[in-house]
Amino acid sequence: MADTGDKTVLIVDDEEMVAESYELYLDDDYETIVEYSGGAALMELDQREVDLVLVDRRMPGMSGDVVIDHIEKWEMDFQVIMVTAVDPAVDIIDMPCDGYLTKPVGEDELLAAVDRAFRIKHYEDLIAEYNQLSEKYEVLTAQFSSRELSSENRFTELEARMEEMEAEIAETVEGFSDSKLSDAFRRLH
Amino acid sequence: MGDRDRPLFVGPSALGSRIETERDGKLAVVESTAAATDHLSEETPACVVTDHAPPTRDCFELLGSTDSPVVVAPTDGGTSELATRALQAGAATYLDPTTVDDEPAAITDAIEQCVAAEQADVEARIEEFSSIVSHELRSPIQTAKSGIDLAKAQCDNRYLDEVDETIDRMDELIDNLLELLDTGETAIETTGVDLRAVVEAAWPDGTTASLTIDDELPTVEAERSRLQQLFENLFRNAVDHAGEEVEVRVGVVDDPDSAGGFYVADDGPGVAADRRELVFEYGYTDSESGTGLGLAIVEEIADAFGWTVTITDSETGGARFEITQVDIR
Repeated sequence: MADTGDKTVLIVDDEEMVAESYELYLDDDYETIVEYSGGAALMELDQREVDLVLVDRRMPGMSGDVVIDHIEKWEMDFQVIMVTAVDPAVDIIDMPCDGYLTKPVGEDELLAAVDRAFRIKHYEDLIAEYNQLSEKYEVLTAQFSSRELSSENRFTELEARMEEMEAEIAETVEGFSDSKLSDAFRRLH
Repeated sequence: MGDRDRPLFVGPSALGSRIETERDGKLAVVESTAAATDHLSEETPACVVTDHAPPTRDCFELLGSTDSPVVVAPTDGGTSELATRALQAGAATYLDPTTVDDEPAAITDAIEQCVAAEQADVEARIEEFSSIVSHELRSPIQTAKSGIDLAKAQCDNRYLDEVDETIDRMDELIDNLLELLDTGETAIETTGVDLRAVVEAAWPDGTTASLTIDDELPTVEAERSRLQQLFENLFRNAVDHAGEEVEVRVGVVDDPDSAGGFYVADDGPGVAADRRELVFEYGYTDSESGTGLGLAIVEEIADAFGWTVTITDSETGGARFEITQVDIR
């Protein structure tokens, strides 16, 4: 995904130095905001649009689990990556997050996880739009003959857009750096 | 639970030997509480089953003198009062053998449940301990690494690089310690595991070292996560000793004497014959970046599966780890 400059990442960690290092890693590619507590993060989310939240799991006051539960309840539409020092247990299956990192997290690992979360989001958006278009395509092809439709400019535009999207979806799937993930997506198509 | 001994039965030897048969001989039998006390000074049974027929067999005397879970089973028939007293005194279970059709089978069941509960308890405590250790140790490591990276962004100093490497080693050491806890103490459930898939998953990302799989690898009886750990440690060992350009080969051991098996070989400097036993010892390392735990964990995992690990020379004079006695599916 080439254009990342307009994406905003909210970093939430009670350790100031840790939060600042994440900011340093991400600064070149993304807009960043830093908050040092779960409560402050939720207030920030109430006022600003962000594209991804990077949240520490264990924080005094309000834990990362509570933060992401709120995010889910408010039906906010952005990616969430949980960062934690504890090895994951099976409970992460039910956790409403798109990524899970175990501390210590270095620059490469963090950038890869954020990139991957954005790619997944992009992929989901593409699929949602493509499904809408193909729904309309089905209805129209059932209603009219192909001769009738081929003379309709709007319909040929629809066909062209769908073809374009198919290529873009394939390209997005190829772009997942993790080969296991791209294999999984490829099986879906 | 490796350090607990076979269960102990305190009661009539006729019943004791029938339970022993049910448990394929895995039971110690004594007739009296006095003999049981002697036995307990030598061994720590996974579970103690005791009759209650004072003065020779007194379950209350025994309850106070052992940490093992105790099943009270009065062979002459019990009362609800005895049941209440026994449970209050710390008995894990109370079972009146006169109320069941098959006494030895009922007591064997009680022993097995007791052993399973104890095992689950140990595992839960280890898990809690691991979780505390991992949080308390990894959090400061993250803070230190973050601080180093922030400092490096502001100035260039070789000491920062050295501290950075030290922190990475500590991180690896913590990972190893946690793996060790997991390998040593928790029960193993094996299934058929595709060796090739595990080898590929264990191969480190972003390395310049190369991996060649020599043969068609079989499906083996193992637990996937631990088997992957075994390969990860062997691969890391190869890179640590032979450098990032190392060529690692994995294949099937072709020796009619050694049952099933596989090898991991490299083209590095190899292991001298007089050090081949030593390298599996905890804390032994001759690499600057090693923790001395990686190969100890390899042997621990192999032991847990009933496998044997030996070191020989590879075709190129490097190290060749042979894992044999493997159950091939």
